[in-house]
Amino acid sequence: MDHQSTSASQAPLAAEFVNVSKSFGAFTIIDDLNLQIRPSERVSLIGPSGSGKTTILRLLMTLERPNEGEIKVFGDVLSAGGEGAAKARPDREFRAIRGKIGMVFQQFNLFPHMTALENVMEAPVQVLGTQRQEARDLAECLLKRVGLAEKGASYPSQLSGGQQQRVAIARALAMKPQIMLFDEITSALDPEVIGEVLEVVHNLAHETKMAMLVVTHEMGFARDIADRVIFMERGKIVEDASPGEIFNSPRNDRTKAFLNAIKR
Amino acid sequence: MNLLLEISPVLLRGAYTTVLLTLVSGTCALLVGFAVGLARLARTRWLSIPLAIYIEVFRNTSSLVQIFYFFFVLPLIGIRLEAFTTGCLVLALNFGAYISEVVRSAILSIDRGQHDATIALNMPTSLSYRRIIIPQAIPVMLPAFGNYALELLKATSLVSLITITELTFSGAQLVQYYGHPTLIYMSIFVIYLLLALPLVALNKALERHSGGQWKPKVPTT
Ligand SMILES: Nc1ncnc2c1ncn2[C@@H]1O[C@H](COP(=O)(O)OP(=O)(O)OP(=O)(O)O)[C@@H](O)[C@H]1O
Ligand SMILES: [Mg+2]
Repeated sequence: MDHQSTSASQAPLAAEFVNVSKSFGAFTIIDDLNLQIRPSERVSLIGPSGSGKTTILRLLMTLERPNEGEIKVFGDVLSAGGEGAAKARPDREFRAIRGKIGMVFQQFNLFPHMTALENVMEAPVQVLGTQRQEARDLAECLLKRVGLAEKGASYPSQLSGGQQQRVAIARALAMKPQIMLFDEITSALDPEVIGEVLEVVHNLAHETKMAMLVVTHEMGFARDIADRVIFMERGKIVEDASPGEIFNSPRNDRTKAFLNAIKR
Repeated sequence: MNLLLEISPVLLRGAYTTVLLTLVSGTCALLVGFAVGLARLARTRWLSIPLAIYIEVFRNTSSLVQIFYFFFVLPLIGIRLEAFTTGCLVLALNFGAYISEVVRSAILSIDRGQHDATIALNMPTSLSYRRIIIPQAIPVMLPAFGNYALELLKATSLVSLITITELTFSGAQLVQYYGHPTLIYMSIFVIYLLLALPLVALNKALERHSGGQWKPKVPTT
C-alpha cells in the first residue's frame, strides 16, 4: 500500500471508503464500509437516526479518524486506521488533499464574531492566501448567489436560521471544494425557511460540477438532488440504487419499512 | 492637614511602586497564563506533567511563602535578582497559574462546532486558534481577568516583606516615624480604592465592548 494515485487509465474516484470501520467505545458505528463516489456525482444518504450517516461525513471531512480501513480522495489516501494510521502524511500534503472537501453543518457553525462577509472571506484569505480585495469580491459574489447580497455586514446573531445556513453554504463554496458534504442542513430550521435553503442547493447542483454527498431527512430533496441514493442502517449500506428504484421499488425490506415509516 | 501634605510624596511614591508592580507582574502573568494554558491544551506529553505540577504548587501554597522562598532560596543556588524583580516573578508565576486555568477552561467552553468549521475550511490548528477560537474565548475570560487584576493589586502588598517600599510598606514606615496610624492607614485605604476604580471601570468597559453578542462594528476595510 503506497500513497500514489490509482492508475492513470481511469479517472480516480472523488472519494472512496475501503473497508472502513469506526467505533466509539464499545459501539461499532461504521462497520466495514465500502463506498465510492465519482467526480460530480450527487449521492443522497438516508437511513434511521443513529445509523451512522453523520459519522460517514465526519470521517470524510477528517473530523473523525477511522479505526480500520482507508479513505481516499481523488486517489490519495486522506486518512487510514489500523496499520495505515502510523505512517501519517506531512501536514502540507494532508491539507492539500483535505482542501478538496467542504462541509455544511446542521448547526451552521458560523463564526459569531465575524460578519457574514468576513465569515466567507476568512478561509480564502488566511488559508489560500487570496488577496483581500479579490476575496471580498468573491465573497460578495457568493453571498449574492445564495440570495444574501444585502447581508454582508450582518453578524450571524442578526440573521435568521435560513440566512445563516445560506451564509454557511457560501463560506464552504469560497474554498472551491470538489466534494461538498451536507449534513441535515435543514434540520435545525423553521419549516418556513427550509425551502429557501434547499433551493440554493438545487441551484448549486445545476450550476456546478462538485460531487455532493447529502444526508437528509427530507425525502423529496433526497430524491430530486441525487443521481444515486444510499440507504443505510446500523453502520452498513443496505441498498444503493438510483432514486427511482429506491423510492418507487425498493428491493430491500428494511428500505421499504423505513420509507413507509417516514411517510407516516 | 499639615501631616497629610508632609507624607503625601512618600505615599505617592509607594502608590507608584504598587501600580508598577501590578502592571509588570500582571502583564507577565497574562503571558505566562496564556502560554501555560495553551500548552496544556496541546497535551504535549513531556510538558503536561511539569505544567500540572507548577499549577498545583503555586495554587496550593501560600503566596507569602512563595515570595520568601524565591527571595531567600534563589540566592543560595546562585541566582541573584533584585527585590522588585523577585516580587514580579513570584506574582507573575502565582497569578499565571490561576490565569492559565481561566484560559484553558474558556477555550474548552467554545462549541465543538467552531473547531469542526475550521477543519472543514482546511485551517491549520494554529490559525484556527488565532483567528477563531481565542477571539471567542477572550470575552469568556475577561470577567475573571478583571477579578484577578484586583486581587493582584491587593497582593502586591505582600512584597513589602521583601523590602520593596510599595504603598503598604511606605505607610507602615510613615506610622513608625510620625505616629497617627488612623490617619495614615485611612489614606492608604483610600489610595487603594482609587487605584482599584479604574480597574473596575476598565473591566466593565471591556466586557461591554466585546462580550457575548458581537454587536455590529464598523465593517473592516
Ligand atoms: N463522538 C461520539 N462519541 C460517542 N458516540 C458517538 C459519537 N458520535 C456519534 N456517536 C454515536 O454514533 C451513532 C451514529 O451516529 P451518527 O450521528 O452518525 O448517526 P446519524 O445517522 O447521523 O443519525 P441522525 O439521523 O440522528 O443524525 C449514534 O448512536 C451516536 O450516539
Ligand atoms: Mg446525523
